[in-house]
Amino acid sequence: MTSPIIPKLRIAVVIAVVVLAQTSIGGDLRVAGVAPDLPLVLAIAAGMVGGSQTGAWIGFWTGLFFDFLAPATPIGLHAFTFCVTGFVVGTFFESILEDRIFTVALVGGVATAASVLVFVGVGDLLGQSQLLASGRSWLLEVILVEAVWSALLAVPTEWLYRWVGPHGGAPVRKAAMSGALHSREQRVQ
Amino acid sequence: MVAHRRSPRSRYVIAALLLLALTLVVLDTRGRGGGVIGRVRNAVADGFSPLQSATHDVLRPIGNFVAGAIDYGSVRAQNQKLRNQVAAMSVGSARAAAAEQAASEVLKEQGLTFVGSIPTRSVQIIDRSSSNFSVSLTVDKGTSQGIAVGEPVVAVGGLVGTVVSAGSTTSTVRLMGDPSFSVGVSLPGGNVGSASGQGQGKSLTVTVDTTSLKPPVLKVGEVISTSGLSLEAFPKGIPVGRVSKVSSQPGSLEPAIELTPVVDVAQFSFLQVLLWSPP
Repeated sequence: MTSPIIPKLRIAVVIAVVVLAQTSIGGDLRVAGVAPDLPLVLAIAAGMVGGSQTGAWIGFWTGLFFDFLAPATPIGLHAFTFCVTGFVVGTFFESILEDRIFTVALVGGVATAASVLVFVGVGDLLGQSQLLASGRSWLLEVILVEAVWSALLAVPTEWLYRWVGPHGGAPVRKAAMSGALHSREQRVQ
Repeated sequence: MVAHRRSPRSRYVIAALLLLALTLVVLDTRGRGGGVIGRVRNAVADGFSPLQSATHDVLRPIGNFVAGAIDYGSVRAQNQKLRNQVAAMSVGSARAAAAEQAASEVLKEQGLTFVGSIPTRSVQIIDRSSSNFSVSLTVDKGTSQGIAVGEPVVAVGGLVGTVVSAGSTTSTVRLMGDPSFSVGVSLPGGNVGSASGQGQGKSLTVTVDTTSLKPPVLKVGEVISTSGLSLEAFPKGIPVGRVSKVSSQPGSLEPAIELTPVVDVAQFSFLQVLLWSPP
């Protein structure tokens, strides 16, 4: 029996690499001034492959690590947003959506757009008014460009997560249909 | 369709995660980046800064390649080549303290004359504002190298921003484009004003503070510098931006002024922190 520690370590390394990549070259990849959000795409991919619980957990830890290295916003805001996003994406993939390339790309884009809105909305509610200081046109630009970035990156990231993750390549929907998801999640987490 | 039932325990766990995240947000906001959470954040940032710096060095060519591909055919592609050259030269020179010192001296001779006798500290950029909602960057030196919150940051040509947080070995610099950035500037006719950031890639806007004087007359292309008045966070005479637009405002005698920052931070891998605090 394989130890559940190894998959967790692999995921931890992937989270670290993705967040470090974001903070190292994310700013260099701007299109129309908007950078991609690689940690968010990872949280989305985790939800697609592992389901709602995995999406929430991976989203939380990815966001929390990103919060520590991205000092512009308070700690916890990315963790909250990515946790919600991973959970919601995972829920849809468990019950409704098929695991196909087009769906993965589309959900990557839509989930990113929603996630940006949650990030700015919750941040503004909690006193981070600077998130809206650049105006609504900038917010719209960020949503559109970041969504396109995520749509492009969702497929390779989902493949990466499936490769290194604990699910052994099994799409979450199939796992759910076979009734194995709960036991698998419990073993992993 | 297959309904997937979630156990009550998993719901509680996810709710607890969300509650924990929100609690951290509130605590960090109330602590204004300081306190226990601020110290933990600085410690984590310091701990990962060597890894971050190494990742930056390894991935930078990939980033440059992708960025060059995105901007292919535009003027920025040409700039990108220059950035590659500057980055290669800068990274090479950073490996030897003596070479870095020499580069710093060259920079001073070439374009930092406005610094005067203020001591400076050369810093390398290790994170170029990976967030879309703040205009900031992270550099590789902190309090252990004598850098403190509030110190101005410059490059060849003029002002870049100010240090807003400093850990032991890393610091965060808020750039002039950030909407929360503001600097006092001197304007013609004895006027003074405040130049404020408007967001990523946007011009700075200037508000004239001396409304009792005759409104300033400005020409497009004119360089505007810091005023250095008492209680100002910047010394006098640092170039801030070139006037890019001057227009009249309905219902106001003061003109609407826009500035383009004199420094394009994208062109630099190294910056200079002025070891200066307001008198």
